[in-house]
Amino acid sequence: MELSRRSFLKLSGAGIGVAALAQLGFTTPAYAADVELRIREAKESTTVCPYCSMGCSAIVSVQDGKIVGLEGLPDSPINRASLCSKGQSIIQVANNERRLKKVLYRAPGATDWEEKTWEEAIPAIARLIKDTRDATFVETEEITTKDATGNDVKTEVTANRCEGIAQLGGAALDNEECYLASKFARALGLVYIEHQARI
Amino acid sequence: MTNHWVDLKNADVFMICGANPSENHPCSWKWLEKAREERGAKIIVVDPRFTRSAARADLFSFLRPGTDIAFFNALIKYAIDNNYINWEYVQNYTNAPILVNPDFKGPWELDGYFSGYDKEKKKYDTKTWNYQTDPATGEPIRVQLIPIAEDPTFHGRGVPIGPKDANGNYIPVEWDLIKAGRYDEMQPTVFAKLAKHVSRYTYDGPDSVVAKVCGMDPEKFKEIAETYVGITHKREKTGNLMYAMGLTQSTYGTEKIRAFAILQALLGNTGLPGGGINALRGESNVQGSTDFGLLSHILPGYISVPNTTDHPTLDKYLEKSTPKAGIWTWLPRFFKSYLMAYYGPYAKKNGLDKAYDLHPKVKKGKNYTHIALFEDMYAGIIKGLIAWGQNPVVGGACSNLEAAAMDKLDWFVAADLWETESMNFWRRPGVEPKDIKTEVWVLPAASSVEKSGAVTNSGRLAQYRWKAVEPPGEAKSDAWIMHQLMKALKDLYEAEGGKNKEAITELFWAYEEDEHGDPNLDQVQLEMSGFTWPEGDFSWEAAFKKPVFGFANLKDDGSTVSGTWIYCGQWASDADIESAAKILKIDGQLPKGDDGKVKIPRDKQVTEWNGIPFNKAQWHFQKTNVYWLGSDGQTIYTENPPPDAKLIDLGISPNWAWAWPVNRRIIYNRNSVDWSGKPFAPDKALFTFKDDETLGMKIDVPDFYTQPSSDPAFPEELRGKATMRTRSGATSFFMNREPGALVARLFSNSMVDGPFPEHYEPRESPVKNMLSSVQNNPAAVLEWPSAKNEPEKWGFAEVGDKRFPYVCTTYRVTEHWQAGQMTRNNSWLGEAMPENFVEISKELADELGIKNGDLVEVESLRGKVQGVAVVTVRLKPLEIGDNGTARKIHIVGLTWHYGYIGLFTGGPERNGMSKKNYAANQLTPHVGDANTTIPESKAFLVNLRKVK
Amino acid sequence: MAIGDFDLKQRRINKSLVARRAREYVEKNPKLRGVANLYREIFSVQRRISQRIPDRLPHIEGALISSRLQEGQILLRPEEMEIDISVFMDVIREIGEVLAKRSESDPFGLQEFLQDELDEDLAKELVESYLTGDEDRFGSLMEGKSVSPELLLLLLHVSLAPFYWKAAGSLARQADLGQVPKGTCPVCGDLPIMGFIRAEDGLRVLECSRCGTRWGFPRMMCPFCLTTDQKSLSYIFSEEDPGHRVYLCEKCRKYIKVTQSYTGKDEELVLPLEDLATAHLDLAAEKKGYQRGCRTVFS
Repeated sequence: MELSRRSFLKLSGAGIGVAALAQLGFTTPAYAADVELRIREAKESTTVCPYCSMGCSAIVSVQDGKIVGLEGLPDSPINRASLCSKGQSIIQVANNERRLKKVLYRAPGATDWEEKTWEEAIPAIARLIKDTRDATFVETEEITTKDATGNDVKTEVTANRCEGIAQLGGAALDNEECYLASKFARALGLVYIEHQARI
Repeated sequence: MTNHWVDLKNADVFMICGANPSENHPCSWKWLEKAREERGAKIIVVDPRFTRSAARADLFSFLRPGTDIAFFNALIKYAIDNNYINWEYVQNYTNAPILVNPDFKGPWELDGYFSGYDKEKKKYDTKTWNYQTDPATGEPIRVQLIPIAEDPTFHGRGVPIGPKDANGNYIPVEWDLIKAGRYDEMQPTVFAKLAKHVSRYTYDGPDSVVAKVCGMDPEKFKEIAETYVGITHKREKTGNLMYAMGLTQSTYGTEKIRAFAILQALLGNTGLPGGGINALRGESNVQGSTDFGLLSHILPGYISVPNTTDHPTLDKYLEKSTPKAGIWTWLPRFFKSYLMAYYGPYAKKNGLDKAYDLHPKVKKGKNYTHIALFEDMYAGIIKGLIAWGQNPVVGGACSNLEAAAMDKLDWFVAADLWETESMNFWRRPGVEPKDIKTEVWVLPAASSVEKSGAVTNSGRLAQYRWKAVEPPGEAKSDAWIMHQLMKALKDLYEAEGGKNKEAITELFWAYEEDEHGDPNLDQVQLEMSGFTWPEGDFSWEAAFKKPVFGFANLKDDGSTVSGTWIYCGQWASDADIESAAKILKIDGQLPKGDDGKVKIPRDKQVTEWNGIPFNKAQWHFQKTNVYWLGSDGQTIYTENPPPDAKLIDLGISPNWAWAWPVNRRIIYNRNSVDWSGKPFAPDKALFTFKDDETLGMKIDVPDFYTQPSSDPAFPEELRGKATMRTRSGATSFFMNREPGALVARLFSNSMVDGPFPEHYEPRESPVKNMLSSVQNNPAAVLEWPSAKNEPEKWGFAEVGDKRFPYVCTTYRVTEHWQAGQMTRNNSWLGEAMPENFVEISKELADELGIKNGDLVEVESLRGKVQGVAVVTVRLKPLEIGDNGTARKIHIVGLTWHYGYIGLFTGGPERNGMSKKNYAANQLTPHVGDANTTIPESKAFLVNLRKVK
Repeated sequence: MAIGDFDLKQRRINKSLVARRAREYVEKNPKLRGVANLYREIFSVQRRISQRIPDRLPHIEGALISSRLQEGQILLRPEEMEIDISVFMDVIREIGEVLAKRSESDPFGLQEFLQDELDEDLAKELVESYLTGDEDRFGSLMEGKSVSPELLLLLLHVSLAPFYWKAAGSLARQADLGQVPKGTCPVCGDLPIMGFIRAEDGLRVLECSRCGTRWGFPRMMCPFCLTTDQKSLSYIFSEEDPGHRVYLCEKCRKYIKVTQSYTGKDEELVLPLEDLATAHLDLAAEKKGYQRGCRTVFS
């Protein structure tokens, strides 16, 4: 029988065992179980635990857009598949009825929340930020320095800071978000920028 | 962490102090166990409580909260007294041999103060905290603490030439004086001053400082000291400090860390695998949020914030902030690349000076940190607050005050996964909602599995996590919220104008949006990392073609962009590409240069080898850098090992994610080899040098430069000679900024409260300071306006206050996390630890007639909180000294996770609002560390009573 | 990844275990009887003849093993194989007979090949060219032979296996194969049969189709194109059989079957049979347009 180089390459690959079995009469359908298969699709992806700072990895299994399983990632050199009690419960953070699902608003003096939309929230918050920022902004301030002879010299310099707004948080955000939060706040001129690292 | 989590396995002794990893970083413990199994490592825990970590330790001692400096200084004294010093390290890599300014005076001379204290301003002038310099060169004067063969180029450094004592340690030149305690007669070096300073921290007998201040058993102290100091000062042994908020939440927290860092330098433990100073950070990305400058005193990449007085212009900023030596001499590159990231197109048109003008400048000397922020909010200065997943009403210090400060806000915007105590501050127990006029917006946010992005762990490792599912309901990622808000603000300022309008309208915020309005985070990440600004009109496509590979390639002419220089190269580093290409067997496709080495094409295709940008590729293949150690225990093989050689794997996985800076896993790693370039510990070697003095084995990314002596830039007379210059040993801590002292500083002028760590008492203490008449850290702000104006509400108990006789300390439990919103809304964890508890000793329980399970109330001057009494042997009363007499001090332990809303609140209530608040921080004082203003939440005074 | 932490156990199977497992599988799916019996018979020949192959000390030891693994090289190079051609002739003939029993008319040219064409010289050359992957030489050796190339390759694969068992066994036990990011066997370089996920820690373990070595392979990586792009990786399973998964790769369009929740001892999981018993999943994956990336135990 002729065996060209090309077909040898092909035959020595993964399919050859199946082909050889077929020649012997064992085609795959001939021995495959006669079951009606309801095939489901699923996806795995890795995540990093949102709790402590070890950075343990986990595999999240998702079916139909819902997390159905979570296990420690054996490939992570840091946690080697193990997860602590908090790490194992990440699934309860995602699948939790208590999660906030709507924008909420509390008017001054009100005793409860009302639901709002993003379309209402974004312009309203931007307006609050702008009004407070513009009202409390320090554009310039006078500084005192010494001249060559040691006398006080007063100069007006740009300060461009907003003292009326503070920003807190970040230790639970992703790096990209932390970077944006920093850029967002400093563009507004904020100087009261703090997060959990300080407390 | 100077080191990283897996590296814990390389330690010989652990000192766990102010941390409880077994409870709060549970998965870390396996690495300690591995060190114990494989290296026979010893684990020491020193803590006010017998913690879960203590239960698994080899040695444990109680310690009165807030007395860590006294303990650490006594360890330093123990090392000096016994000549347990790694002298080769100390002589070459620290400032110990440098002569100190003769005008410098220490607490031993000034009753608790260092020279330069201004009692009016309550601040130090640090001008005497420096060195004697050689008038000819301007360099600090180094002397020989041990006999050395001096390096031809580096005065005061070189290879030790003996003699050694019975333990094999070099005998210092002035050993007779040291032995006799006659430190004043020594040459006035940093070492002599340090020895004198710590000589007051005695450890012998019942009248010693460790007994009377710390409440430790002196015999136990010696056992601990002999284990830690006695073992790890040996050149081939390393010990590390694992610490957390137990050290930092203190009015002298920074000095506590310094004290241990000094000890580590004397023992030669920093820069080696298994060593270092390891902060066990509490939150998944608190490292990242710090790196990206979400703090009032730093910009992204630890660049200091500009102030109006010193830095009115860009030139002034760079002139005043750029040091003469060390890595920070590159500040102009870092800062200009940062400004380009914020205002690139504007700067291209108007220049970087103008862009700098748009950037906010703080008022010099004003504190804007957490405590100050809430003080200013309470004073009505701050009108609006934005919080991204932070819950100060539970997590903030003196939280009743911080909640009361929020009452004064006009508006509050909170993005979070859950309803938190903070967003419900207007209906907290004890207030009338109608009286509170604050407008509150609550924005539902996506959780970690509902968005993609990287987080940086305690070991500085940025790991990517992939979005698995959509967020629930209308929840959005924080990035989406920031992006949409910034767009709306740009529109508003464009339409209406406003203050410093260009800062917003000209802000470089050109991220493309996907169909949901989410910004393109790859573009954000490229901007954080760095790229060369494209010619002509900006486009992301052009930017992606020119990533900057590492901060050394940033430019100071405005041609490069890097939002956070320490992350520069994260997008794709050469090493990433090369090693990945090799393993993926595509390295053959990479072009080679004349030298035969792979040349990395700088284009997008490369950053997306195999379809994914490198920053996202958690390399699931685990190729670690390894070597083999010959059976003599000395010879290092990187290839062709003899069969009987032992494989050494230090757990550095360079292909697993990416660590800043430049994927270096152990910082200060120059110190892992001695002067001659030989690894201190052959079984923990990171580098070797070849005979021609070039670098041989590289297990980690070097934290130093090498310059072969054949280099034409090398002085003629030294060509071909072995000198430290070829091995960067003279600048082994080159992140320092001090000229002539790019070494470990046992004496430093960059602290506000002293060049050496000195013990003071916590702001609230049952006893007077035994070491001096200075009760509290004199450089800390001891009274913020709230305490000054309303001392009865927010003030402090007196020393030994009879109303508040017990010392209270706060801590966490493994079932909960931080302010609780991430765990108290979760049934598995909540049910495991459903209610707040108050831990007391049997002795105190007997005194007060309290039984296990009783409901008790803990009260400080600032608030009350209830919990279930847990009577344990994990706490015990400590006998300490008080005015010459021994006194028993009781310690009360309290978890701080609980509040008043959630599935679990901390009390018997479930699933909603509670009428009581169970937040331990209602008790803590509003006072902080002198350097960082981190609140003092780990030692304060309380009373305790049984409710029922 | 630190080395030596996975404590990966190699398989421990014998004739009676294979027989017992085969019965269990056939009980569940009677259609498996023929092919399962074929495997049993081949295994028993391999097993019996392997006793005639002397136990061999590994040709490399200690640090040399770890250094080869570090460099991504296989531990057992073709030239390091010692094959006693007379033993090989016996095993190939016996297995040939097993196969020939499948039909009386010798439609595959098998008997003719074994009786008339194959001698020791040809065997030696075939083995050499097969092991070294010398396609030209193999092609010319095959010219004019009566057996089909598929069957010849099957014969070579299963006949060489006992030699590989002997040489690989002690090497695999000394090597640390807990985490090897290679889709081919770190010992002999052949393709896997399929994988299983170790219950204790979720480690994905692959088994070599030739030498039977098991190695740990990253979960989030395609064994065939080595991509780690998580957007390209997914899996399917059947609701009736959640204990098996088929991992699919969008990049190379190949799949690998993985046993997910095996409750017995891992060492006694007979993956060659498991592979045959999950043929319905091969059909499901192929229906979706994916190609099998693994070999079978037969070749």
